[in-house]
Amino acid sequence: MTLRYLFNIVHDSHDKDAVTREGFDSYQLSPTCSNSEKAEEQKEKKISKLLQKKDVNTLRSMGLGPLGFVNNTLRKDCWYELLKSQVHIDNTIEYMPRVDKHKDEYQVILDAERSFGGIVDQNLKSQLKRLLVELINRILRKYPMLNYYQGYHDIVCVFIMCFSWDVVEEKGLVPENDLLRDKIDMEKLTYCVEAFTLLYLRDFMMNSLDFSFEQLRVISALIKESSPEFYSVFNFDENEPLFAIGSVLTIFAHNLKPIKSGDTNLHKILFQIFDMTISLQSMHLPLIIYKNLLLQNAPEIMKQIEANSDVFENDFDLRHGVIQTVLQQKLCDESLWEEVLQITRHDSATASKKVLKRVRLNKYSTLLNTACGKPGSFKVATIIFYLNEQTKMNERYKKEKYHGVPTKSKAKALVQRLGHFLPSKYNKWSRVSLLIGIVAILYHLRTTRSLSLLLSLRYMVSTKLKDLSHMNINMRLINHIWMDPIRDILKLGHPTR
Amino acid sequence: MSGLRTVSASSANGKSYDSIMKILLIGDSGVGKSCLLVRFVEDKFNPSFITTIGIDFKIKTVDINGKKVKLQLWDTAGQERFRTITTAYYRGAMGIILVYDVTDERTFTNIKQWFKTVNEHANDEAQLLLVGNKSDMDTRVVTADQGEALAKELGIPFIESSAKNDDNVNEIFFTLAKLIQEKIDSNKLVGVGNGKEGNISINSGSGNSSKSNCC
Repeated sequence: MTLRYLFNIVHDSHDKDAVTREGFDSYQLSPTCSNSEKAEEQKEKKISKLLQKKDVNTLRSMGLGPLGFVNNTLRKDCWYELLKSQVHIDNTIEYMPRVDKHKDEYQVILDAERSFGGIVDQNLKSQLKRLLVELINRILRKYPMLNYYQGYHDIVCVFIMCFSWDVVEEKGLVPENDLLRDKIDMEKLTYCVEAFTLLYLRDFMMNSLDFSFEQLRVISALIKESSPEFYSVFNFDENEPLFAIGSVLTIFAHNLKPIKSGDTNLHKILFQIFDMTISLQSMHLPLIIYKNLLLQNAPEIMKQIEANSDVFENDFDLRHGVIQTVLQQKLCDESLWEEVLQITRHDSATASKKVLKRVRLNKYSTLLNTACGKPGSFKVATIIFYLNEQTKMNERYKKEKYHGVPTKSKAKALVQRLGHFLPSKYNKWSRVSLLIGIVAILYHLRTTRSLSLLLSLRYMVSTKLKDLSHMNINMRLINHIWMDPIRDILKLGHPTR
Repeated sequence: MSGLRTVSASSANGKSYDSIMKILLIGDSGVGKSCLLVRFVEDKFNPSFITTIGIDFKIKTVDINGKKVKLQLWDTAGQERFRTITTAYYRGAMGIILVYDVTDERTFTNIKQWFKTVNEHANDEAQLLLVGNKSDMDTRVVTADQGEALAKELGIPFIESSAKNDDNVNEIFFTLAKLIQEKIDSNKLVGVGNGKEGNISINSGSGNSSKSNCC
């Protein structure tokens, strides 16, 4: 049994109204195409031309449309060109000190051992597994501060499958001593995995799941925005959507990878989700897709929640149990997926500012810079700066958690909380200055007993917090931030005199 | 959402059962938690079974002493970093299966750590069970006696199993369910479906529930 059989490509009828998106050149399948095969052929030709011209912008609109990059031969080149345009990695430069062995390598082997379950050829299977381990370890050793998570291997598998498609699907490894790596473009594959990891996956590769939870909360906030009714009935306020974590951490690779011959064309959907994610340069996309999946199935979910309300020990279990059961069946439904992707194409490309504000992401989140939904090119040095800052922030979160914020005084917790909005080197200054400001006003208040001043204090603190939490905080502002409370006090004090 | 293609039964409407038991599987990564569950629920075995990410949920209804018992089975990710998530699901678990791999000493040693986590997060009345999986393997390094001794030390029952050969897999779940049923019958535990008012409540994890606030 080959993957061709497992993955069994069938040409479906696709929506002929391909996507147009603001900011991209519009792409339309010709209305004269009477069948989808012709449309596919036409799109293939167009993509080939664009690849020759390295027209990245138009390629993006191709990736967003139905069929995405159509086939894996084109797809791997498209992914490479797009990712190369998003980050320039120079392999002669050592961006940070390497390690010979990363702490998570044992876990990588455990998970690789369980990968590629659908491949029957044992030689090929073991070579694919070895390649998986090699690619992951290379990243971990090169960027030792990244932490491996179960699910990262699913994402790397998607890249491996794309790049080794013709070997796996058609040619196979003949004779026996053929090496898989000699038959695939290792350089491009390595580049894609590295670029994708740095640009899109940093939030998931911290030392704890805190930043992953932030992304889950975006799903809740998106639902609140799109369907307040479902949001309130579903009670998202109280429950983080932990049930979504497998899908989010793997960009649906965990749900859609083929594991047995009965799996129809789900891999095609999976590749298209990656096409769209990379084309939009957006980690918002998987979250928006998840939101649309939930909303598409909202009536069924609500029905099941009602029917099973007495079956579960608590509401938390009830939601997880019902959603998993409902989506379990639905996620195998190709037509549902086509529908959801089509809705997503017409949805906004990123979560709104309101949504992001509600979630309070860490300020170096991939959702705010390298995969924020706007095409942009980043230097590795910049990404490493983000990574360093995120790592520090994550450590602070962890410490706060372990030492228990609730036991601390509220003021201390507030100041510490404030620290998260600022780059770490300004933390002490900003904390001290804010405290000076508050103490000064309190002192003034004691002497004048003015109520308006008390209100001013509240206003000052709240506007300051708002300013600081604004994601596009610029460096000049930060430089002077320690001065601001004092300035504010002078301003505030004046009219009361 | 994980392990999406392995559902056994959708939640039943109406009462097609006498009681419900929430059961959790925990243990190190790769010891075969998901394989045990899939063997029990679907009678299948696939050594390259997919990794569990976060939490997986399955249901199977069994017959215990003439009563229809709906087993709610929660399968957890073994990797340390998911511990914050998985402990949120300990709440209200009536049975917890601690699994190790008889071919991997480390997973056996870590059982004590898992036991500690259980004591921190689960209900005191929860019935525990120690399982040494992969008993079919020639590469065994942990003997049955060692397993037995540890179980005795922890004061919990012990079973060796093989998901691959289907040895003792049903026994795990039936033994546990019977022990839980005995506890329910002696009024130590209150079944989920039997009385909402009497829900067991333990210190909650991250998700707060409105139902289990009786104690």
